[in-house]
This record gives sequence, C-alpha cells and structure tokens, in this order.
Amino acid sequence: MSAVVVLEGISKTYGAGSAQVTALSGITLSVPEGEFLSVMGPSGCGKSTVLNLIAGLDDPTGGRIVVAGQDLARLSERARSDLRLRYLGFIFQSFNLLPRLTVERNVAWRLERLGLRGRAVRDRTAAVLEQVGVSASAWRRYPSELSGGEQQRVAAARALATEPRLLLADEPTGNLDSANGRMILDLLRRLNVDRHTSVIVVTHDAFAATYGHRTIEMKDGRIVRDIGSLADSEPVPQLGRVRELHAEH
Amino acid sequence: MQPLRLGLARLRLELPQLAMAIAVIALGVALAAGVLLANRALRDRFDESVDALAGAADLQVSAVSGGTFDEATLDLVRATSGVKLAAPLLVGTTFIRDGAVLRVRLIGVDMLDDESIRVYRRAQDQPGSLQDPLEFLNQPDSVLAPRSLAERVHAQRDDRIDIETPLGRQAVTVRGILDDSGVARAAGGNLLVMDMYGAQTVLGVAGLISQIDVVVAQRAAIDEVREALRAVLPSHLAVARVADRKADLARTAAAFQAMLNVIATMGLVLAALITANRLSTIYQARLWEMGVLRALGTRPGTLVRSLVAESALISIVGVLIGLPLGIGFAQLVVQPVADTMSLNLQQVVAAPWVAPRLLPLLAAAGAGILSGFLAALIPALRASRSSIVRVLATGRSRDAWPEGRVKRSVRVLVIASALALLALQMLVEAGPLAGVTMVFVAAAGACAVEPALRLVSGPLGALLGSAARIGVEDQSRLPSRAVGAATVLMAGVAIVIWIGSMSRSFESYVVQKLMLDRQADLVVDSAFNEIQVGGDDARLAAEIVARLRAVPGVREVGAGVNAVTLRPETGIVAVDPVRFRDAAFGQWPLDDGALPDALARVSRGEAVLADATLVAQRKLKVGAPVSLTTPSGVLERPLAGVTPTKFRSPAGDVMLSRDLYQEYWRDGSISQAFVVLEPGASAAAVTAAIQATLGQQQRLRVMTRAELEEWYAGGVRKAFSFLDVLAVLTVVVVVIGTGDALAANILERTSEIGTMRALGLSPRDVATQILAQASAIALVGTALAIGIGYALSFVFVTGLIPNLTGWRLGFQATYGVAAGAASVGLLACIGGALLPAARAARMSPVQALRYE
Repeated sequence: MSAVVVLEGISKTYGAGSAQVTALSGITLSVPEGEFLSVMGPSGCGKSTVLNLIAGLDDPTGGRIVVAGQDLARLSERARSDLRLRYLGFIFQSFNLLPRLTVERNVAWRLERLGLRGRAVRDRTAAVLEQVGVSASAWRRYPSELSGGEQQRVAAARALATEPRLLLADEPTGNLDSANGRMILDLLRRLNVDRHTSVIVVTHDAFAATYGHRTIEMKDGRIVRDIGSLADSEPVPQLGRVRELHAEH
Repeated sequence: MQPLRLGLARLRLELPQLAMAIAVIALGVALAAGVLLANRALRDRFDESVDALAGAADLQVSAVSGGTFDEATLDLVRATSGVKLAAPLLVGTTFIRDGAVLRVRLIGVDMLDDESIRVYRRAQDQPGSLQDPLEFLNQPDSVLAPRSLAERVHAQRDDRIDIETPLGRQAVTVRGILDDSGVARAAGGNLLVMDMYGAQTVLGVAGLISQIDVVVAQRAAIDEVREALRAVLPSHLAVARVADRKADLARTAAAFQAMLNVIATMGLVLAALITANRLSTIYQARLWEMGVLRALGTRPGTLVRSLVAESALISIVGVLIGLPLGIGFAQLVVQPVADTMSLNLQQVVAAPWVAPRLLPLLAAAGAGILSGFLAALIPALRASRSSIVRVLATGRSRDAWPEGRVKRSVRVLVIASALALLALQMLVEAGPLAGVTMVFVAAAGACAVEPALRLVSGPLGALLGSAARIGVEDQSRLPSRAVGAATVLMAGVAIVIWIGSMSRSFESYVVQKLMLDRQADLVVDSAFNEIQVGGDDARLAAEIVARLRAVPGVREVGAGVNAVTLRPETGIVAVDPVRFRDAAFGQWPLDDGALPDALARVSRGEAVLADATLVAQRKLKVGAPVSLTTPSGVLERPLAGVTPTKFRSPAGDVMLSRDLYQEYWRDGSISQAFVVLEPGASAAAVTAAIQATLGQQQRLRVMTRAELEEWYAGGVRKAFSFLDVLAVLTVVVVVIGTGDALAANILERTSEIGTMRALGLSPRDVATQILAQASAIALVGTALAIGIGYALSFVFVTGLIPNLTGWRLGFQATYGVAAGAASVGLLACIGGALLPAARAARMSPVQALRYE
C-alpha cells in the first residue's frame, strides 16, 4: 500500500539563539493510503505543527515531507495551494467557517476554485451537505445561526466537497459536546471506510483517538509511542479507562 | 494621569500603526492652518488697503458709475454745512514691467491743498520722505513710491521708471520714498503717489477726480452731513459712509473667505473620518485584549478614557507637526487664493508674506485636537461596549450585518425624496429648493452606497473569478468599512465632478455667449490684460482705433469699452456702431419680441439692449425705458431687445453705442478693438504690422479669434483653479481611505484568510480578493459620484447660481471632467488597495490561523 504522507526526520524550531524553541525533533512517520491515524498528546507537544507541515502551511527546519507523492520542499507556494485544494481537506477545532458566507457558499467556493460552475457546483454542494446531515433549511443561513455541531458538519462538508485523498482534522471535537463529537468522528470514520480517504486526526481526547487504525502519541516534539488502533491493541495502562469508555459507547 | 501614561506607552509601542493617524491629522491641521492664515493675511491686507485710501475720512463721494467726475465738485462739497475737511483723490491703474509685470495704482493727491494733507496726514507725516517739496511740485513727473515697491523695482530716489498708462508708456521720477504705512499700504503697497495735476496728466483725465474724502465737523452728525451732500450733489455721485463701504467690502470678502474656510473644514472632517477609521482598526486589533481587561474588572468608562487620552496624544503630535507645515502651506496658497479672491471680488488683493498669527494657529490646532477626539470617541465607545463573552469567544471576526427594516425604509425614503426634488428642480427655479435638493442628493448618495455594494458583488464576482467572488461577497455582507471607503471616494470624486462640471458649464457658456459678437479676425487690447487679475481691465486710448484702420490689410475696426455703473448696479458694454451693423464683427442674437430694426436703433444711440440676466432681475419689458446713472446724469433709452447674458456684472448688462457712452461717461478710452481684415490678408502679417507701429508706443496684445476664446476660457479656469487642489486632496484622501478600510478589513479577516489558505487559496488568490474588494468600492464610489456630481452640478447651476449671482447659465454635462475624476478615483482606490493586498498575500497561513 503506497504512503499518502511520508515524514522523514522532521524537525522544527522557532526563534534563534537562547530564545530558540524546538517544536519538533526527529519525526519520522509514514501514513499509508486509507489509514485513519490519530495523533495524541498534551497541549504544546507539536501535534498541530505536524499537521501544518503536512498541509504545507509551514516549512520544517530539517527533514523531508512527501504528500501524495510530492516533495513539499520542491513545490512553489502556488503549487502547495493547489495541492491543498485538490488533495487535502481540513477540519478545524473552531470550525473556521467564513462567517459572512452562507452555509451553501461556504461549501461551494472550493468547488468553484476547482473550476466547477453552475449546476455542477449546486448539485455537489447539496449532495455533500445532505451526506453530512445538514438539513436544506440551513443552507441559506449564516454560520452564526447554527449550533456548534451543525457548524462542524458544514466544515466537514466543505472539506469533503472536493473528495480529498487526505483529510486533516485538528481537534475536530474540541469545541463540541460528546454527542456532536461522536457524530463527527463517526462521519470521519465512515468517510475513511467508504471512500478510502486517509484521515489524520490530531486530538488530546483519548476517546477520539480510539477511532484511528493507528495512534501515535507525542510528547515534547517527539513521537513517544506508535501503536495500532487503541480499540484493538493490548491494554495500555494509562489508556485503560479510554477503552472502557469506548465499550460503553 | 494614568490614562495619559497608558496612552503614552501605547504611542511608543504602536507608533508605526498610529503614524498614519498622526500624519492625517497633521495634514488636516496644515490645510486648515494654511487656509486660515492666508485668509487672515489677505483679509488684513484688504482692510488695510481700504483704510489707507480712506485716510481719516468719514464720508466718501464717488461716481455712481465708477470712474471719474469733475473736480469742481470739490467746491460744492466744501461749501456744504458740516463738512470740516474735503480732499480730492484720483485713482488710476498703471503697469510697471521690471522682469515681472506689476499692476500699480496711481494715486493723485493735491499736495498744495492743506485739507488733503490733513486728511491723508498719515501718508505725509514722514520726515525725510521728500528732500525737496518744491522740486516735487515743480516737476509734474514726480512720484512717491512706497519702500517695498521701490525695492521691488530696484528704484532709488531720483531714478526714473517707465509706467504704462492708457496714454502709452511714460516715464516718472521717484522723488521720495514712503515708509510702508498710511496711504502706502493701499493696494498692497503697489502704488505710486503723484500730485493731482501730474496724475491727471499721466492718466489723461485733466480736471477729473475719482473720489472726495470728507471729514465731518462732528462725528455724531455724519448722517446729517451725508444727507446734505446728497441734496447738493448731482445724482450720478454717491455719498457713502466709509464705515459702510468697508463693511460692504468686508461682507463680500467674508462670503468668499467663508467658502475657503469650508474647504479647510472639509479637509479636517476628512482627516477626522480617516483617523476614525484608522483608530477603529487599531482598536479592533486590541478587541481581545480589551475583552480580557474587562473580564478582569476594568470598567468600560476607564477603557474609553484611556483610548481618548491616547487619541489626544496622537492629535497633539499631529498638531505639532501640522502647524509648521501649515505656515509653509500658507505661503504656497496665498497667491492662488489672492488671485481667486481678486477675480471674485473684482478688487485687486495683494498677496503678502503670511506671518504666523496666534488665533488662526490656535483655531487650526483646536480643530485638529477636536477632530482627533471625535475620531476616537465612537470607535472607543464601540470597542469598550463589545460583549466580553463574544469578544473572548470569537476574537475579532465579525458576523454578517443584516439590514434592519427601519434602516431600509429611511434609505428608500431619502433616495426617493432626492429623486422627487430633482424632478421638481427641473420644473421650478428656486434657490431654497435647490439648497434642500443638494442636501438630499448628497444624503441619497451616502444611503445608496451599501445597497450598491451588495448589488455589484454578484456580477463583479462572476466577472473576476471565484477567488474574487469570495472577497466581494464577504465585503457586501459586512460593508461598514467598505461603505466608509466608498463614501469618501464618492464624496471626493463627486465634489471634483460638481465643481469641474460647473466650471466647464461656466466656461463653455461664457465663451459661447461672449464670442457671439466677437467674431472679428483680430482683437487688440493692452498687453497688461494678460497678467491682470480682478479689477478693471487695462484700457487703451481711443486714438488707436484710427491708427489701426491705417494698418495695411485692415478693412474695418470696431472698438468696445466695458464698465459698471451703480445705483442700481449695471454692467455696461459699449460698442462702436459698426459692430452692430457689420456681421463680420459677430452676431447679436435677440430674443423673440425685439423691436423692429433694434440693432440699427441701438447703433444710432436711440435705444439700448439688455441681457437676459438684467431683464430677469429688473423685470424689464421690450420698448420700456431703461435708466442708467452716468457721470452726466441719468441716461434713459428704450429697451430694443434682449441678448444672452454678457457677464460684465452679476446684476446684468446693458449694451449701447460707444458714441452714447462717450457722451454720457465722458470717457474716450477703449477696452478692446476688433479688427476685420481685408479678404486675403494674413492675420500674422497684420499682427506684426500692428506691433511694429502701434506697439512702439504702448504694449499691445493682438489675438486671433481662437486665442481670444482661449483667453476667456483661461480666465474662467483660473477662477476655478482651486479645483486642482481639491483633486489632489481627493486622490490623497481616497488612497489613504481605501487603503485603511481594506487594511482594517484584512485585520478582521486574518483568521479567515488563514482558513482559506489552508483550504487551497494561493497568495495570489488572496491578493485578488482584496483587489476585487477595492474594485467594488471603486466601482460603487465612482458610479455614484458621477450621478451625484452631475445632480449637484445641475441643481447648483440651474437653481443656486441664478439666485446667488443672477447669472442664468445653461447646465452642460462635461464628460471629460467626469471621466478624468472617475479614472483618478478608480486608480487611487485600486492603488490604495495594493499595499494591503500584498500584505495579505504575504501573511503566513499558520500565524493567520492562530490570530484571534
């Protein structure tokens, strides 16, 4: 199975001299196509930095990143933008919907950037909104008129509209209650299973991490543990309670 | 003191961000200070000039028709009961060419007359100014020159200088230097004082004087003496209180200067608007911080005080920079303002060096600080009142801005009212209605900005592509900043179109109407008309007509003279009879209802013509008599017909035969001579011949018909030259306003830009969005500006000008000005967006995503 993401010896530092901070150090990781990867760890461990590097939003200080077969270091800013538009989807903790565009337009604009027009955009937008469970009555509303769960579903629809090969989710359940959080995680899993879309979810929520085929745990900018799906793996002492929670759900 | 300390700390920390606000306030203060200082200096010089010529007089006798009157009148005045002193004065216009050309007043004072000396004591009471009074009086070419003029023309005592008079070039000798006080302050010091006889000789007006200044025996009895003088003097002479005359002139000057003050105020208002926008942006960036402070217990009032204190510091810094700039700016604008003032007041106003004065500087400084305070108050109140929970939860991002029903209704009402008033204005010519219509038109423009932004967002987005569409859609849903920028653009461009269109309407109408009866091949007048601004035109002696006829290639010559008579004020256009008879000199189109053979009657001196303005103002009827006050008494002739407006006087003009004018005004000088050439004669050859012969005696200007037309047009353009200043001001304001509005917008959308970058928009797409937003602002601003500018211009030209000046101009839409102003506005708007667009494109997506 080919890897959709390859990270080789990635390091990332900020600042210089005595003020230098190491955000990532020696990260090596490969994400096969179709894998659902959870990246866990406490705040400030470098999870989001990894996601930003994979998306080409930031450059590593050292190492090499290959996404969808393309070495990001060799891509221009424009080519990276194009890569994100065509191959990646992004879901954020705070939903990050454009507040002054309607639900429909929040989803449709990426399709238009792909060159789709008119009916094709409308049909695709409607289909993806229906797929994530946003009722038609909400399509003409603005994000501020929706609940958090609805907003995250719209954000998911926006990410899915372009049928990305890789979906990046940064704390997607961080601002949701447990029911809505689970709904979003179920959606991601369904997408992963049905469409074979690779998913990388960054979370500090152990329960959310159980949705992945594989979970890596980070601490102080390093990968400290790389294990199979928490749901299938042998009990890990500190995660024992999580497995129980999962079973309860 | 704490808010001030906090403000000072902020100023140090955020100086780059606040620099724009400081610069804008400094520019506003500089503009205000410059205009106020120049205004004050010119006004003082104007008053000084009037004071200086009036001397210690209480009353002034002058010809109602302007010009001169018989010096024998002096005996009548002196014999009148209550008159203590009476001094004759002759005032004429001459020119000195010394590198540049100077317009110089020639003042004739009776040096042998004890009463004159006592009236003009201030001018004479200067020991050492005259070394040998007898020599001065014995030599009729003697002049006294103010020190400033003598230095300017590099003349010393006993030096001879050439002056140009209606009789040609003449030499006078400087026998004394006057300190710059007393009479020497008149006409800005550009004058020469001669003995009365010498002045009469040089000006060719033997036995004539311009005014008699009267000192009454008892101040309390001024009115009685005035009435007594009126009773004994002929009707063509006016007796006015000097104080009233000064007040009249001051009122005229004040109206013009008020207009300049309005321009300065506009500058300050624009500065306040831009500063408000800038501060609003800065406070928006601090919203989260303020939310935290409020969550930690800081009261809204404390926040407002701190922000206002900060703005006070910004204003003070702006004022400190702006005041010296204003003093420098005053030196730059004083000459154009003096020229415009001279044209508008028909009085020569000298442009002095502008000394810094406390009151205008204090006024500009106070206005600058006040505008900074007002600019800060609203954003500060808004920022301090934002919901703490919302600010902390959502950061700086703002939701869509739905339009309420009340707001929409008000909008519709204002726009509908403006349209209805405009329609009414087309039917009714009424000054007050025109004023109200202009206010509504301007308000309707402001009201239309927001819906127009929504309207254009769809088509513009479709036209410019999907990335641009996101930008314009987004802007149309939260248009507060875009509305501000578009309104500034609209106001600026509309003002330029309004004034430009008015100027071109004026120019085109004036030139078209004036040239109707000026179709001769060449026109000859004094070369000093080229530099002349305001006041009477430079005259030529009538003998020149006969000499022109003798030049080879000349078929016919027809002269004309322009004057203004008072009581009631009427412009006089007196032309040689041949110009009424010979179509080669031009046409005299008359309105329907003119008397049969009207032009023949006028050429014979049996009737007169009146222009449309005079007929409308005095409600004259064809066939009915028209009365004119002349130096020889009342002239009454029937009205033979009505011509288009001639623009000599705002009160309206009368056209008559020059023979009649010469008879009644006892004035043989001419303003212009029109020359019709023999068939096949070369205009260039005849011009050269005229200059070679007649030009030896006095400086002549010979123009072709096209050059004359351009000269008239240039005169009108000069009167509206401040339009250029306004245009530059508009460009600066639009660049700053648009740039700031978009920068503020970008600041609010930082996180959204990060999101879009993460979802696949390239830096170029982001820049395209910002430029698309600027395009929407530019499109809406300029489109509305064209409509509003034309509407204001139409109402002003057809409604207000007739009421204010009496002139009835036809409105002429001028597409060149509109296209130019709109293009400049569009470019300025897009130009203002370039920097914010580049910054937004360079923004790191990771940092943008973190920005809350």
